[in-house]
Amino acid sequence: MYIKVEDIVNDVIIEEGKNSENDFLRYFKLALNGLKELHFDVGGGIRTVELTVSSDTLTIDLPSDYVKYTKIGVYGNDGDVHPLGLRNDKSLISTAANSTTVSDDELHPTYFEYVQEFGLGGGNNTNGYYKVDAENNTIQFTSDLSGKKIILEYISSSLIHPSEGKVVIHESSAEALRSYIYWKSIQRKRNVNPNDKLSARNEYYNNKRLARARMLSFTKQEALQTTRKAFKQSPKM
Amino acid sequence: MITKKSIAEQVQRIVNGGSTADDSKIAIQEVVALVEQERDAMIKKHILENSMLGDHEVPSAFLTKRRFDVALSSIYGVGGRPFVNLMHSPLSLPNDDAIYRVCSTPVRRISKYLDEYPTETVNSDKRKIVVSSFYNQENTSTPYLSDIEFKNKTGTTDIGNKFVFSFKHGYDSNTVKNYNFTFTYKNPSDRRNTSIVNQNSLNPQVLLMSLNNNKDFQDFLKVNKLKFTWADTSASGYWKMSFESHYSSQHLGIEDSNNFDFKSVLTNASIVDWHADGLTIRTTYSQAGGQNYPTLGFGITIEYSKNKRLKEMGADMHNIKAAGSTSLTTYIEITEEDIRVPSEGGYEDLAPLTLHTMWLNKYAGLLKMYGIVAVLEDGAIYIKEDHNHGGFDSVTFNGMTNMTGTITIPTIDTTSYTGIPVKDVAEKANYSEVECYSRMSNPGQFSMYDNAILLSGRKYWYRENKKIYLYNSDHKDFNDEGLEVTVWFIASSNTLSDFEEFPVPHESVPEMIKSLVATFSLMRQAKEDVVNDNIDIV
Repeated sequence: MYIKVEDIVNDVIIEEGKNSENDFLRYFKLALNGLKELHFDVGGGIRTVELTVSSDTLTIDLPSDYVKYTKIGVYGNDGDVHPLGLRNDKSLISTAANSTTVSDDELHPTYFEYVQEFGLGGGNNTNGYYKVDAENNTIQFTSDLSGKKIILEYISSSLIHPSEGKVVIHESSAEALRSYIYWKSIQRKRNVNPNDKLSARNEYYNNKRLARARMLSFTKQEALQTTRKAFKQSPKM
Repeated sequence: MITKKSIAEQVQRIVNGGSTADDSKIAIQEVVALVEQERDAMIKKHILENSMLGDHEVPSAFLTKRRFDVALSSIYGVGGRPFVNLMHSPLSLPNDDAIYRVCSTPVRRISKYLDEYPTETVNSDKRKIVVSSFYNQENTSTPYLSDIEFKNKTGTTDIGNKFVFSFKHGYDSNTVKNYNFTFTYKNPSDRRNTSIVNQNSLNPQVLLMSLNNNKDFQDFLKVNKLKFTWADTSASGYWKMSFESHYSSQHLGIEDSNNFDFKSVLTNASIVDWHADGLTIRTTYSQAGGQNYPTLGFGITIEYSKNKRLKEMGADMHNIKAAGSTSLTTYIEITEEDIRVPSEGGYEDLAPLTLHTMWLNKYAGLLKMYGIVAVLEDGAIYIKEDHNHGGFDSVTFNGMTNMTGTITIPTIDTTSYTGIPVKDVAEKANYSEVECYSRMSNPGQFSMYDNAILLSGRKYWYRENKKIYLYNSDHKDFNDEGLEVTVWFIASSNTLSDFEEFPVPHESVPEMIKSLVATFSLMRQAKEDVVNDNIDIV
């Protein structure tokens, strides 16, 4: 399923008709940049961790390789991850609150805050809320999540695959990475024809599109499963 | 061997009109200097021009190979930085292309600790493998042999040239299956239209040859270890086809039965008349002598996880190793025909030495890829580590009845020690690798590539004038001996001596000579002013 990035770099060197490895390190460095790009745009490099919300600060520390979350939720008794709600209004500065009672609009009512009531409107979350504090590398949570275990799924900046123990890339993205290395290796060279640079760039974007299509492809069974989720019995009006 | 002296002498001879006298107008030293410059310029031009055309190969003909001891430069910290001093300055090319490859040299030297073992390949594990039996194990089994006769029909009906041969086969009456093989009737003779037949002109010999040529039918015979033969029986016009096996019992029907047929695809009718006697079973199979069922052969399995390259290497088409595996599996199979007596086309005596040779024929070359040297010494197979990695995990012999083998770890006997297993001296080499280094740009104290270097897991070299520094490497090997490095590079011509190999393609020599002769001819055309009269010659 995975190919070593080292092998991808060797492929590019071979494709260029070189029999010496003298460009290896430069290409490898470019490949690492390309790998990050492909992790952001195509997929791969997603990690999941279980973290406990601090009872004192109502926060969790972001993993050192955190780039961006893809899912934040609590682990339920049913074995599923139940997503939390985003609440950007939450203050990141914990000074003393105003003594006057503050009543939010209907989106954040103080009464029945976490339950669905008739006429209340959507967008609320009974599990709790979070806000990412990028400045302090933490995620803040609402008090009802104090001491609870949070499942954080995020894009990782770490390039070493946790189980392979090496810098690898999914086979679906291998050709895109080869194209990236080549494009970047000529991008700033003044003696290379602009058309060649443009062609290399287009080739990379096409291969990235292909890689994305491969990574996001689904089976007939999965398609049927998705469409059948909408099938339900209801009273005929 | 081309040397720069030999090229220079040729140039001098041509320029001087055949003479190479000491007092000749052009001294050999002058020519040599120009030969050097000419080669360097030619190489540079060749590589840069090819590079412009998109061909980035460094031609091997220009390369020089040298081994160097690694020294330590102390200005980079307490630990220092290892380097080698290339006595031969490499050419100056972009990306240090003049330095083609830098690899550590496999350690073969005797360490201080191990100087008691002067005759051994130090720190390299070794196994002695001997097939200890299987003499005169001829297959004297009574074979299964049956035959059935047929002759062609006498009508004029066109029957085409595609036929189906059908019959029943099994190892006994309980395992019988139906088989059909469709084949093309083709007469190998060059006569015209011989492959177009009717009932009467069908040639039984060609029919059976065509069947025998059919790949699927051949596969059936191989899988079931059957031999298929045919012969003209007598003047009665019948042809006999026989099935024989020296391997196991076979069942093509009971005595006098007939489950065989040849049909035309065109007419879907039988194209031959079968003898009324049906199948004749001449002999039934009876095992005797050397065992051949279900298999005859031996294997040697080598577990070699200490060679880290094995895990990285993919699967091979010889089925020695699977992708990601570090286990090497070898197997030599002897067929039931091989062990028949010579008068029946067999090898007869398969002595251990013969079996050793067979195994080496098949695997000695293939195992080199996996860092294992296999040789025949004193009538036994010896397998050794090609490079020092810390020894084999295990080596096992997979034999069978009457074909057993022994595997021993050779010992080292010295005046001080007796009977020390060679594996004992291989332990220090565990985790050591023979590595090739990759190039990096000169980092000074630290490199901007440091993170990439850590993630790549490789070791790197960089050039500084005539020195090659090893950036993330030690300067000693596991025996605490100084490391040796082999460098392949394009040496500047002036650093090569007059008599050593001058790395230049043979076909480029005339071009060089031509260019140099032209240069010297121009020099000779210039008029000499031999009179010291302060007047320029015109």
